[in-house]
Amino acid sequence: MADDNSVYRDLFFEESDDNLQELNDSILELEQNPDNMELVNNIFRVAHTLKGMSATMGYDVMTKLTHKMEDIFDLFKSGKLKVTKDHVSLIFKCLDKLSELVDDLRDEKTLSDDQIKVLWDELDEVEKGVDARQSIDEKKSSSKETKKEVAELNGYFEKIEDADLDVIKKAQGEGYNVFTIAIRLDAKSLLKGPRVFLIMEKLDQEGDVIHSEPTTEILEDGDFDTDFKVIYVTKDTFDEVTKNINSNSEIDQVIVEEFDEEKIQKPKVSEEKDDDSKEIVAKPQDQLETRPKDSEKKKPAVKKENHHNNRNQSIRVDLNRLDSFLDLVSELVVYRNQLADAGKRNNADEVRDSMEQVSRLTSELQDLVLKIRMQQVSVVFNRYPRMIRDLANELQKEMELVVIGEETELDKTVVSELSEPMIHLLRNCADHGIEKPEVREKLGKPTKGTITLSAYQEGNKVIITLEDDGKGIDPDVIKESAQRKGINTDGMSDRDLQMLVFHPGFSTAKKITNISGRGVGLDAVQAKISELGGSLEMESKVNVGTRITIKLPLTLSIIQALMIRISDEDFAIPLDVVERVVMIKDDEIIQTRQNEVYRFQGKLIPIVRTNELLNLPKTESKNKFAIIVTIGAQYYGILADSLIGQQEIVIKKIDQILMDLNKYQGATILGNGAIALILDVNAICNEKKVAVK
Amino acid sequence: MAKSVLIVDDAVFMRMKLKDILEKNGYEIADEAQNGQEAFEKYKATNPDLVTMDITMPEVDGLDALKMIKEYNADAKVVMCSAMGQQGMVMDAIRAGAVDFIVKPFDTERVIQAIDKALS
Amino acid sequence: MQMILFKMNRQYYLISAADVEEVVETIQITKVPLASKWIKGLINLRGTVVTIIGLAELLDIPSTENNMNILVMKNEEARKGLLIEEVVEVLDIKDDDIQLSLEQESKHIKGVVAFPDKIANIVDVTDSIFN
Repeated sequence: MADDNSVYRDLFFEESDDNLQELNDSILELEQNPDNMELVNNIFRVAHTLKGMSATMGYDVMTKLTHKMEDIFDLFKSGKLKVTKDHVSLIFKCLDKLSELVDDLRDEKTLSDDQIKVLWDELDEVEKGVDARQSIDEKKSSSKETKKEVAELNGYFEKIEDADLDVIKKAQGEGYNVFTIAIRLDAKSLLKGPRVFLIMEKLDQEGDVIHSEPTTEILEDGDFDTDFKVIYVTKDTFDEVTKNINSNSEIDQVIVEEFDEEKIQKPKVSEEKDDDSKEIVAKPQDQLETRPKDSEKKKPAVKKENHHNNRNQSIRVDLNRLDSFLDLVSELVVYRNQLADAGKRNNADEVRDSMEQVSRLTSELQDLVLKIRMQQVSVVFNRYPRMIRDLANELQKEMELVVIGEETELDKTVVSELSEPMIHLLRNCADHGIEKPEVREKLGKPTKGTITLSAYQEGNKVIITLEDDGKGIDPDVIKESAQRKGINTDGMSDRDLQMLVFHPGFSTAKKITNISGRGVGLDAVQAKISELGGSLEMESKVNVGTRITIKLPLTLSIIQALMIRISDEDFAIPLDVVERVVMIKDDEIIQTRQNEVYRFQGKLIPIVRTNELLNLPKTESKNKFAIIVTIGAQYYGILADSLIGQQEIVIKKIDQILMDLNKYQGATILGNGAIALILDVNAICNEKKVAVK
Repeated sequence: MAKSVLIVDDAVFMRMKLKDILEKNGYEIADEAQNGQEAFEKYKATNPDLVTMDITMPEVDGLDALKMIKEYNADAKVVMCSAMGQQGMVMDAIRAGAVDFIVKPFDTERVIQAIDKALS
Repeated sequence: MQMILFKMNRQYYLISAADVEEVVETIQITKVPLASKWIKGLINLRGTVVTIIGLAELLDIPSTENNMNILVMKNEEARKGLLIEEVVEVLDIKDDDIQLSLEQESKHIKGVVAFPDKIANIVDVTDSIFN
């Protein structure tokens, strides 16, 4: 194809990703409900779209594989092939391969047939097993393509019955015109059956086709080369008939002639050649039904509530543009704050009204851009049921993933960053959480384990919980293991012990499995969640199960913050972790054996001396403020010299080298143009905890 | 005046492709629709000279949409877009009054030939 | 090639103008506690937070009190500020004018250019500040 497809590439990739995801979901569902015909039809439709798109882009290798896969779906559809676990696994392999191909194409690699050969053969094997005749048919059709020699189109008929001749004579007597029409379709014409059918329909509107060669059945099944002939009885004139036929597309050549009994017999000399073409045109009857008939009316496709089916009224936007938009709005917020400050200082009455409007509009704009950036968690959650299925097979366990609230929305950045840590946690659930069926049976549990992944919004946070009904985490085992690793466990509660699995370098797996024991521990998950400004908690009961609760901020970019001063520097603390602020005197800080604590609500909570932590000079003031924050169900008191106040701030990224200090989650620009660092309270408190223990 | 075409396909990609082909050949795009129901609504709203109608679409498919459009306007010109292996559906569409059909993958020349002929 | 001639501690240096996006007057730098000594802090460059690196600390030469300019360095999408004493002028330097540096000890000095009245070291810090 000569068209330049490059402009469609991005679109092609996005839609291919969507289609592959939908296929993954649907196949997974089909495995559970193998008899759901609507589902099969939907799968067929999506596979079809995928094939059509790759063919249009000229990605032959991908087209070839999708085509073959579609053949299998066709067999599902016709009921000739049962939906078994093996077949489903094979289809999944196809989908994985297709994703791989799409990725390669995205990287502008050239695909080769070798990439799909093994899989294609495997599919072909399945197909052949079902219907041997079909593959014969395919061989025939491919050998047909190689035949280049094309005979001249002619209007000779072979099998005109006497009865036909009678009809013709009678018609002519009644003033009808009778024509012989020979038509040759474009050699590249696809779907010849319907093409002929359309031509015939148009002819039938103005007259009658009383005879055709090959027979109409063969013609409508498309089981002929390119040529066919009819005898047509009509009131139309020669010109009208010619025009009628030429109104059809994909016709290479037409010969319309007045019917003449003498002329329709072929001359003897060309017999040999004609026999040859006869062999091609007339196929044995028994091959006609090899292709399942598609004529049953297709029901409307399965209606799913999934987001990717609800594409109505939406457009795709380049993420970079969205990021720039957010940056611009963020900048606008900064200047609005500056303007508001200046307005207050100068008491400029005449601009106050306009200032208020600008302020309101900026806030609305800000809300809007944040909403635009929201994405459903289903984008990542959708991949997990498939993953759990594969894990179950691999681990020889029985388990099922229940996903709740996948329509919950989060900032796009958070959603994409969430994928890795969630995969890690899920793998852990499957590997260490869910027991083998026989073990579960002994414990009186259903043999099939259930993992429940749910998401919901609570205020300006999204809560994600991951719960399994597996064996739980035994604090005694953890304790033993921790001591072996030289971690001091003195005075730790069961819950503290359990949380040790998130301690850097801690792994409870007795042997390293290739599922979750990859050296990267759960501490990486903890770190990622903190980096996203979220928190992670875990509850676990032996033999009952484990629940992990992750709280994430709705957006990463704009937050409410408490501005504080330590020494002479200003810092921001995200308000959502702040429980309350209390003024404390130096002597209210109690020195314990290893730690400084403060009595808050009847409990002793650790105190974080920020100036020491950040290596800032100590101030002389007797009174300090303790910002009480909650991190992982534990209170901490963060000391500040003074409070500046609460304000909305825009989080600006800072260099990775500064992020690596593990003290800051970013910086913000204040109303006066100065910069303040945002303290990473999660990291600071977690560090404190590790230091304490 | 340029003839107007309503493009119906559930894949944005296909719609863009068709739109591109049509616009380069002097047709005007009346509108685009991504399922049968929308196609019918947009047909009524824009009254195009021709509709290109994908067969397989979610919810209301192309065949049903074709029937709805033909019922609304018996003279409506609808060209079906099908893929290989949809003989039966294409036949049903022809019975229901489709003027022609084009087969994916689209070949620019074929698309234009079919549409030119349908509108002549 | 275009090079920016600047002064630090009574010494002259040259840096390829292609690496420098702009030269700004030093503005308020917010310190980052605990960061390495060559990180001077952060500035607000028209709404973007940019990390400032002290060239003196990077080159391990005595730092100066009066740093008047920041060279905003750009590498793809990333930006970093290089704190220097003062920009003198932009010059066109021919390849032939560049002599190999005798100062083998500094990895940031890529050569020397001799002028009638002074000599200037050519600094290249792009690799070390962006990677």
